[in-house]
Order: sequence, then structure tokens, then C-alpha cells
Amino acid sequence: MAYSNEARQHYLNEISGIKQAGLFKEERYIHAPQDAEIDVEFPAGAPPKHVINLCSNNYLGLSSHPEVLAAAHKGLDHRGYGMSSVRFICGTQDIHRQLENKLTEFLGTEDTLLFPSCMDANAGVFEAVLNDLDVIIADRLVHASIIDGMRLCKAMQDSYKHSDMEHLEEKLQEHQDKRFRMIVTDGVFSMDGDLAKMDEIVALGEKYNALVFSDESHSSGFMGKTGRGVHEHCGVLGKMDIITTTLGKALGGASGGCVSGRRELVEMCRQRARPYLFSNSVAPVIVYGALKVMEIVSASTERRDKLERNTIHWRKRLTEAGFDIKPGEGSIVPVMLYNAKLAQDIARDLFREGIYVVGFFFPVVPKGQARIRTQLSAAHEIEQLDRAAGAFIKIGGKYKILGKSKKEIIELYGM
Amino acid sequence: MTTTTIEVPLPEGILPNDLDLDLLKAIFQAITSLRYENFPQRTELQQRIQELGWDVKWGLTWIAEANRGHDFECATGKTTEEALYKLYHHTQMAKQCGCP
Repeated sequence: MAYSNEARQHYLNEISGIKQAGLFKEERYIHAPQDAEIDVEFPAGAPPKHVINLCSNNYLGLSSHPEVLAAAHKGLDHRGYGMSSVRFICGTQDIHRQLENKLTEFLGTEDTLLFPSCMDANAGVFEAVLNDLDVIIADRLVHASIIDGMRLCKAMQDSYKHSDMEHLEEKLQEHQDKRFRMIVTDGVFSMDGDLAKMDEIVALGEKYNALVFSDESHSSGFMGKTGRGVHEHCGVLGKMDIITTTLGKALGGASGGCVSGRRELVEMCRQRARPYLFSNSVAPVIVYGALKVMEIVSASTERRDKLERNTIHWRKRLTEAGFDIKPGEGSIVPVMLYNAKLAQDIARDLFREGIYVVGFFFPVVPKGQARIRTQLSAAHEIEQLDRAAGAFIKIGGKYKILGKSKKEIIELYGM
Repeated sequence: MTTTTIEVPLPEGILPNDLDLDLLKAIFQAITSLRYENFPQRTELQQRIQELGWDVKWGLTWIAEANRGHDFECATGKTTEEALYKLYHHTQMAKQCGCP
């Protein structure tokens, strides 16, 4: 037997260490489709509790939309359950290409390639288009999947301070000797919900002859006037060299992602990106659902507009109540608590009040930056948000944090 | 592994600092590796790689490592500056797991 007692004990100790550090991730069983209100079994074995969901990426409320469900059923009936193949052998149906074309049109790019997830798109894209003659200059708060993708690539890696355009410019000047420079950023940063200064980044890219890459996973479908993403919001639609995004958040929430951008770069991914080459095709049922999602978001901005109204309302309610929230316009609204135990205690108490949120603390966020990350959805009604705000105010009052500054919260609870 | 101590007379008033000692250690390690390392298959291995179409180069390099609990970062470079610079950026990008 290869799995010795010594090996077992080693892993038990590792898991115990994770628990002692307060970093153990526990899954919560949801007994309902994804929506604004769901039934959550937590802890495991407890009767499911009906709660308002403020922690999903279901930004446009399309995860359980009846038209998307009907389309998915149709996909299942017409094109089967799975492809049993990678794309380039016998795994590409005409609908895969249709969806790629729709995404290209929507994102304002030249071509698109589907991946099993955006994690896979980010893991594969850099190695496919850059090599050791090149440099990647990344914002220091980019998503973990981008960091993994950069590590798989032979290009030199460099970084600039978060959203610091002067620092980015210094780096671009420093790397003028490289063949290609690629600026890499998230459109919306998942930790703080803030937006990349995409117009300034694109301008620097043009000035210093650098490619511009953005992961629009937390913005595709709803940022910008017609929901194209942060590049639309910042007025640089059509100027992005590479966009990666996901079908797993606003755009239906199932799974799948893509690389979209300059035609030749996308073709290089089709030829060389290993997660594309060695993973099964996105299932037909998801492609059909995603095609319907694209139809819905292209036809009307109704859901995007409702999300914007909900976000403004939620930010206003929390600010008026005296919570310390990260300023911004994104639909990720972090409630800052600074202390890890406080974040966990408040999340637990809110759950008892029927509000589902999760406390984030080190190492997910930097030390002393613990918070509860709330996320808005077009599926939310104002009445639900007011109910959630009421619970936040009740629990915030219990912990005496309302109207308190960062310094005062830290004085009360420590970092 | 055995070690040998070598005494080197230094000019009056000269005391080697940590960097000098690191440099001396690296030089002697390189000499030992190249002259006395028991690695007769070196040429054969190189040839085998070349037979698969690879252009092979090898040489001495600097390595910089950083440990933090479970985290490990490592970078190499032709100079200490290059290795440490790369290591710095690896650690900057690995500050936290990040939010999904």
C-alpha cells in the first residue's frame, strides 16, 4: 500500500494546521436553485434555512432565469449531454462557434475562443502568446488564476502597485528592451470591487507599445452602458488586445470562460493553449443556455440597469447606517471590519438573521483588512435589500461598529 | 560530504564581509562542481536531449529562495540582482490567495 500511515498522518496534521489557523473552508449545502433567496444547510445536518443571498456572482440574476433554463433543456434535447472529446478532435459543434461569435460581438473584439472556465483561459493564454523575450507587467491585485497563468509562461514577470499608473509607466519605460510588453489587469478587482483605470492603461499601452489584457469576469454583462465590461465603462471599447471572461458569473453562472481579442492572439490560443487543447469542450447544454443569455443581455439593458439601481441603493443604505464600506461603483460592496474574528462573528449572526454573507480575512485579503464581501444581483428586489440592511443594522449595533471609523473599529476589536 | 578549510592571507586591515564570503563560497563550489563532480553521464545526457531537437545550454546561475510557512518562492538569474529582483516580484504577486 503506497498510502502509508506516515503519509496519512502528514496530511491529517496539515488539515489540522489549516483548521487551527482559522482557514478551513467548509462547504454549505444549498437546497434550491441559485437565486436572491435560497435554502442553506449549515452546519451540515442542520435543517435548511431560508436566507437572502448576498454572496453569489449571479449579478444579472440569470442563473435560474426561465428562458435560460428552457434554452438549456433544448440544448440537452437537440445536442446531447456531453461531447466526449476535446474541441479539435470531435468536440466542436456549430453552436460553440455561434457562441464564440456572439461573445466577440458583445465584447467588441476580433475573435473569441471558449475554454472550460476562465481559470483555464487565464492559465493558458500567456504561455500561448508570450515567451522569454517578453515581459508581463501585472497589477499586484490581479486574480489568482492570472498569477498561475503567468507562472506557467516563460516571459519575465513584473508588477505594478495596485492601480498606480505612475508606477506602471515606470515599469513600461524600464522594459522597453523587451520584444513585447503586456499590461495585465482585472477589470473589476474581486477583493475590493474597485475598477481598473482602463482608459489610462490603454493610453499607456499605446504610448509604450504594450499589449493590454483585462480579466472582465466580474464585469461582463453589466459594467458599462450596455454591459460590455469595464472597457466600455471607461470608453475604450474595441481597444483591448485580450479580454478573458467567464460564463460562470453574470452570464448565466454555469461554467465556461473565454479568451477574446486580437484575431491572431486568439488563434495562437487555439493552437497552443494547453487547457483548451487538453480539456473537454464546454457541454452543449451550457452553450445553448449561454446563447440565450447573450440574446437577453444584447437585447436590453433592463437587468443591468436594475443591478445598478440595486447597487446604488445598497451602498446608500449601508453608508447611511454608518458602515465602513469600500467606496466605488461596482456591485461588489465590501463591508470593512478589519478584525478576522469580528468578520466571522458578524457573518454568523447575519446568517441567524436570514442573511447569507461570508467573512473574508487573511490570507484571502491582507492582514488587518478583514471584511464581509456583499454582492448585489438584479434578482434582488429593493424590499429584500431593505430587509438585509435591517439585519446588518441590528447586528452592526450589537457589535457597536455603526458610525465608527477604521481606527475606532480597530481600537475596539484589534487587527 | 566532506569540507576542506583553506587559509588565505589577507592584506592588513581587510576583513571579508558576508558578500565576500558568499562570493568565495560560490567560486569554490563552482570549481568543485566543474572539476570534481562525479557526473560522467553529463555529455551523454546532453546528447540525448539534443537528439530530440533541443538546443542545450547550461551554466552556473544564482538562485534566490523565500520561505513563508507553507509558501515557497524561487527564482534564478545570471546575476544576484536578477535573481533577487525576480524573487521580489514572485513574492509581491503571492501576497495573498485573493478572492474568487
